[in-house]
Amino acid sequence: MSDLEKLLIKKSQSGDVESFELLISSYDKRAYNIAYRIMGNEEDAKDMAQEALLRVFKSLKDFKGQAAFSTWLYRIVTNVCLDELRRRKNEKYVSMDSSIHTEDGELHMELCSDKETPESVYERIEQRELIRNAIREMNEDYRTVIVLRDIQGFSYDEISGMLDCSLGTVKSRINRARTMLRDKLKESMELSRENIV
Amino acid sequence: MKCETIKNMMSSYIDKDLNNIEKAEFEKHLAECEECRAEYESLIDIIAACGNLEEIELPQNFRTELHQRLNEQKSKRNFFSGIMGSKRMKMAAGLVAAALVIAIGIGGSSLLFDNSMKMAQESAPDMGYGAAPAPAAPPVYYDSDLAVNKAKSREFEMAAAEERGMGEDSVGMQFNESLMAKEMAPSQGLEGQAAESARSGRMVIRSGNISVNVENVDKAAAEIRQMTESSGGYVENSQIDNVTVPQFPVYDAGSEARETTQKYANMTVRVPENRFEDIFNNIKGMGKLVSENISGSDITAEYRDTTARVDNLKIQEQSLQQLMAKAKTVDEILKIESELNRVRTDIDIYTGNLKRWDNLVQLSTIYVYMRELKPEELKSVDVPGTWEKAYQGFIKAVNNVVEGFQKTLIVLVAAIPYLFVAGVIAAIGFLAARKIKLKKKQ
Repeated sequence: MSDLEKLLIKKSQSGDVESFELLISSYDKRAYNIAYRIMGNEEDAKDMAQEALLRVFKSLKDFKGQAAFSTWLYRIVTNVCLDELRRRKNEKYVSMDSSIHTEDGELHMELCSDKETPESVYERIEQRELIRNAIREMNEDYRTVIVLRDIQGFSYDEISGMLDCSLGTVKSRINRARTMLRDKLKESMELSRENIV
Repeated sequence: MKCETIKNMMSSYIDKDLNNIEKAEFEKHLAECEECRAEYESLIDIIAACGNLEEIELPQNFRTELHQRLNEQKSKRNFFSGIMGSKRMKMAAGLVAAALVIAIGIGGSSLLFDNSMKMAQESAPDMGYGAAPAPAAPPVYYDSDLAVNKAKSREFEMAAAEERGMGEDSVGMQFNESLMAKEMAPSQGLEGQAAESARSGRMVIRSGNISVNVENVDKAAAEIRQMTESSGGYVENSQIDNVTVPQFPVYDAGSEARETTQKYANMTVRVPENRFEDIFNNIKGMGKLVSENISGSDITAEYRDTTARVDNLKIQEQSLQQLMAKAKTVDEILKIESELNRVRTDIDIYTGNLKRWDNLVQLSTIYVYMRELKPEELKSVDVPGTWEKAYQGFIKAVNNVVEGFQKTLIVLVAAIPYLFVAGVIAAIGFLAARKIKLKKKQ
């Protein structure tokens, strides 16, 4: 943790909103992205990310610096998301966005900069779409580790800190999640191929 | 290696979480097995694709909205910490609650320690003992004080055995009683159902605690030693202390002793598991039992796991030795050597654990604590007749009630400032809540 961060944490703990905003400015985008991948749509992601950051602000006085601030923050983000998903499950609430959700145009802009043939671009977009859907369909515990490990690139240690489970659990869960994701993709690829033909 | 194992290792390999040996084996298998290779490649693809998922930008109003909510939060917090002082409020509430608990508790606990207070009072009679005792009461105390004291200390011992040492008495032995309880506490295991599980082929570590009052500590200790050794066990630890304890004057004919010495013994004996119950009961029968406790902790699962781990490590050791034979360069040899070292150390540690467990299971542990009481003390405990006891009990109860009331009154009066503050705060909170409600309705 840098000295600046320590200082900002200290000031935030005493309730200084500006310091807090400065403190989280390097994390909020990633927090939002984690929430987006776990929740599966932008609207929920925004709600959850804001909720989580508010909670971070509220409980910052309990943060004693045992772990890195970022790990602690992302842990709250994943917890908020998972709590919400569990709550919805209990209420038998089905999110319309999470099952059928098509992507917007920003993809193309980003992709055109790559030197790729139109075909391969199409393939990649298609593949992304498939992966996105496959991830969305996974059980939330497995989805979370995929998001944290393979999309966000956190280390095993960090993930075990965020999810509050042992390193062994994280390892086996990641292994299981990846296999599951692969099986799901295989399935959906075959389906889409059939559709095209 | 089997494909199944390889599949379990895949993620670890991809994330570079394998050691060199495992890594080499993994790669070797992948070169040979087409199926695993295909699986590995598909996983790599997917992980790469996951990493390629675009990062999305924060929504435009994300930060401004958050800013607003943060400020709302802050003002809420200020309100609380400013007016209500949530911490102070909590403290006040806690104090009120604590005061009530103490007030009630004093009534009950005085049952236990009022006797010692009485004795202290009586040694300085001019201080008086409140208004409570009836004029006829003191002679009763004087006459049978020894007996009361004994009855008291027995009561206390029971309480100490139950609560594991909360003792507070002016007589030295109670202090020792609680000490003993502390000594015993750590050895208490998890479950107390050792007997059943031990028979079903499970690994259970059994241990027992006994505390007895005996006539002759030395004799009892020798007996225990003899019993242990003849059963095939041994005495792990034995300690006998002769402690001088101050005693309050005893109003007994002819006795003017102000100090007595008392003997204590602490023993730890290890006996074969099948003789445990026998010996435990024998020790129990040597004197007057103060407390006993048997516990067992089941280590079957851990034991099995560790055995499996050792087996695995041994296999690993073998394959390392084979590898060593094939090693050509110094570098290779060094690497294998260090790995081999690690494996062997692990094997040593785990086998050490297993041995220790074997020992603990085969030999149960009994912790014995003995206190020497003179024969007449051992017997005199039940001297007062029923009638007398009832009379004493009655007076004691009256004293307790009066005292309890006094103390409750004191505490309640003392708590008035807190109650007042709490009331004001509650009123403010109530009004504020109502105002907010009204506002919302409008």
